[in-house]
Amino acid sequence: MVKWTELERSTVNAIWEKIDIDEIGSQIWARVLIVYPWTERYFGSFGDLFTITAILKNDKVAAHGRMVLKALDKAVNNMDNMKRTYAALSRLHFQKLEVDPDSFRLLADCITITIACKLKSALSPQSQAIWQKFLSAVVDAMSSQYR
Amino acid sequence: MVEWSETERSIITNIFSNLDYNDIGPKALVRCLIVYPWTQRYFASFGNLYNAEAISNNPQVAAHGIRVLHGLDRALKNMDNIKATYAELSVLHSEKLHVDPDNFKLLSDCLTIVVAGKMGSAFTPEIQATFQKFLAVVVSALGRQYH
Repeated sequence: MVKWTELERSTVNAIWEKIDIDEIGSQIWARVLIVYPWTERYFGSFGDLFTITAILKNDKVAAHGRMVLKALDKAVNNMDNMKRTYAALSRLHFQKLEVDPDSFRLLADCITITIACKLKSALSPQSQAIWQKFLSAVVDAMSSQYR
Repeated sequence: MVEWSETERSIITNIFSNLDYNDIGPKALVRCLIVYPWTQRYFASFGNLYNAEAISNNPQVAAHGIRVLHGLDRALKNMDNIKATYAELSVLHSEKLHVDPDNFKLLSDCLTIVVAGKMGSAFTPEIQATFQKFLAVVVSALGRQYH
């Protein structure tokens, strides 16, 4: 089980409080799809993803981003129990959605960059280190049901 | 050979022409040493790196950060020949400095976060994709002479 200090818990919560799920959520997926275009293969049903402009305007992309951030909320509130919290989601991504677990890491990187753009110097090196530890625990939990 | 579109060339040129090297260079290296603490092993001669504050105030770290960023200038001016441009530096990092080439990616990730924090929402997904492509080519060139 991942151990969290009081400082780490409060840092993750402080960052999370500053995130507007609607605003940030709509951006993170656009970033993933544009920076790592092969991830588009999972979103055949989302319609037009053919150009950067189309991706940035696509409502389904924005909605999906918000959904993912809402799921991240569960991790923030269950930092001592992420594997169990995400077991069902992990199984879903493995068995039904057949998502390459490397993609979780790419998404985590884009979440961090989107937050860096928003918080700017408020995302200090120490905060970044803690936030990345948090996200890698999430990525681990999301990969845990993959065989 | 890596192909660059006119758009990509101008995105990279614009990013660098708006960067204060004396500010961004130190910030990127400081972040790397804090977020990925094992990288401190290469800087034993830099004196006090015992905590985040010491690292942030260390003048040798700052000077080295500036030097690294100016090193990126060479890639900027030789975008069609980055591999050859960095051949000697690659040999240096491999044979003399014994730097694990994985670390080049870590530093480039930290530079991306610092630039994102500086540019804020101007660091669009498209600009992020181009900047990451540029840094990936640099990282690959620096790892090229390792054997």
